[in-house]
Amino acid sequence: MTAILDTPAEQNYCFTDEPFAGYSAQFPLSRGAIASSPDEAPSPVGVRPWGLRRMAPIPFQGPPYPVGAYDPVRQIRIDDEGRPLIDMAEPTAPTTGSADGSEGDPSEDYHND
Amino acid sequence: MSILILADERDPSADTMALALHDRGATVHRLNTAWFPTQLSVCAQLRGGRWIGYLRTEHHVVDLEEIHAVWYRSPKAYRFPPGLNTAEHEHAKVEAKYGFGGVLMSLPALWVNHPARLADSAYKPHQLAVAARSGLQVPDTLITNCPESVANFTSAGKTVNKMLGAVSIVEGGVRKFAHTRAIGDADLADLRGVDATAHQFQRWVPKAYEARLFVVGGDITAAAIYAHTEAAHIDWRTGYGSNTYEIIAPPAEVIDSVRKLMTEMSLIYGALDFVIGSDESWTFLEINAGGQYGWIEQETGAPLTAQLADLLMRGHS
Repeated sequence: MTAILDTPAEQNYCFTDEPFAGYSAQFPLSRGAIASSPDEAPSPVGVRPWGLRRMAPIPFQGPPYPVGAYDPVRQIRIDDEGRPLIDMAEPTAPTTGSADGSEGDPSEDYHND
Repeated sequence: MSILILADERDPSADTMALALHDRGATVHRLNTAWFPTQLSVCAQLRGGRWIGYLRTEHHVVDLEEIHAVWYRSPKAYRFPPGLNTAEHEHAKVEAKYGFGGVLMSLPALWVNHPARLADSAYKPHQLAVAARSGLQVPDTLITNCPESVANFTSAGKTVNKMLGAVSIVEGGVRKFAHTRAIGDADLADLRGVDATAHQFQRWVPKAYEARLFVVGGDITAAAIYAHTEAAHIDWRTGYGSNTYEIIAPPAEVIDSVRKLMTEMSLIYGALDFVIGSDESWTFLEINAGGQYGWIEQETGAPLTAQLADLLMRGHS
């Protein structure tokens, strides 16, 4: 017998879309990718949340942090010659991109904040 | 005994911590939850009220019983193999969350911080309420989706708008960010979209400078942040290139209240932001339970990594 799920709540897994406790139910707390689709445009005024009006790209300041590679044995990031990246540049880059103390950001929350 | 670091492999502060713990003779295991399930596996059985077993990567085997401290440092979302359809992906995510995440979060170790407490602390309105109950001065704050409430609130004095959590979005392939900004007449002239979701408005607190205060177990360290541009005076995050820093001593009553707040929120670590007025009054803005500290350490020499490493070494003892 196949169950018929009538409501959106029934169609979703328990807790994943729970409006309050969802944070606590998520481990890790990172929400993963939150990018809009490339073909999506900002909604018109009145539909788009007011707080998003002042969202703007932020220019990168200062030299970029070296990319390097993660050494799974030493458990740190290293350069091409095996030197710890933290010896090569400042340990945090002068930029910002995440909500302090929030669930995290897919690419930038290792920077200041 | 071992220490588990849960962090992104691109996190320089986690690099620094791994080396600091090695220097102290600790057995360190650094994992990113994004490695599960393709590069990280779990095998755990319940024995005597705790989970016994292993986490395993190509290079490391982590005995769950040996873990006495965990540093939860913004690890990333699980990544599943391509090919799953949307329903399959959602199923895999939920099962991973409650299975892999459930085993880890039940470890009887010192958590800095426990993810459930981190999650609770992400709610800014909750923070403000706890801070006020703890004796800290907090700004007059409005949370609303009613445009008329915004008009009334802003008519009573200079106001700023701050995101409650989603300070950045990726749209059209571009990352966009919202700094704190003073509300002007042009903003108030068109409040369409306020009703679309919750918005936070806060009374501007006149400031001489700001401070970030770090709680690491029993240690408290505060750094003054001096802004030198108009924009950074509103939001110091716009002034990394020009801000200056100095270690300062918070008032005793602020320290007492911060300890009450940490206790009520069951947090071991926190980075708290304050505005300091010209009368040296301290006003709490927010606590960042996973907040960054590396740049303050670099700018001031404050031994924050050492404090965290020592805390993790001690564990529950």
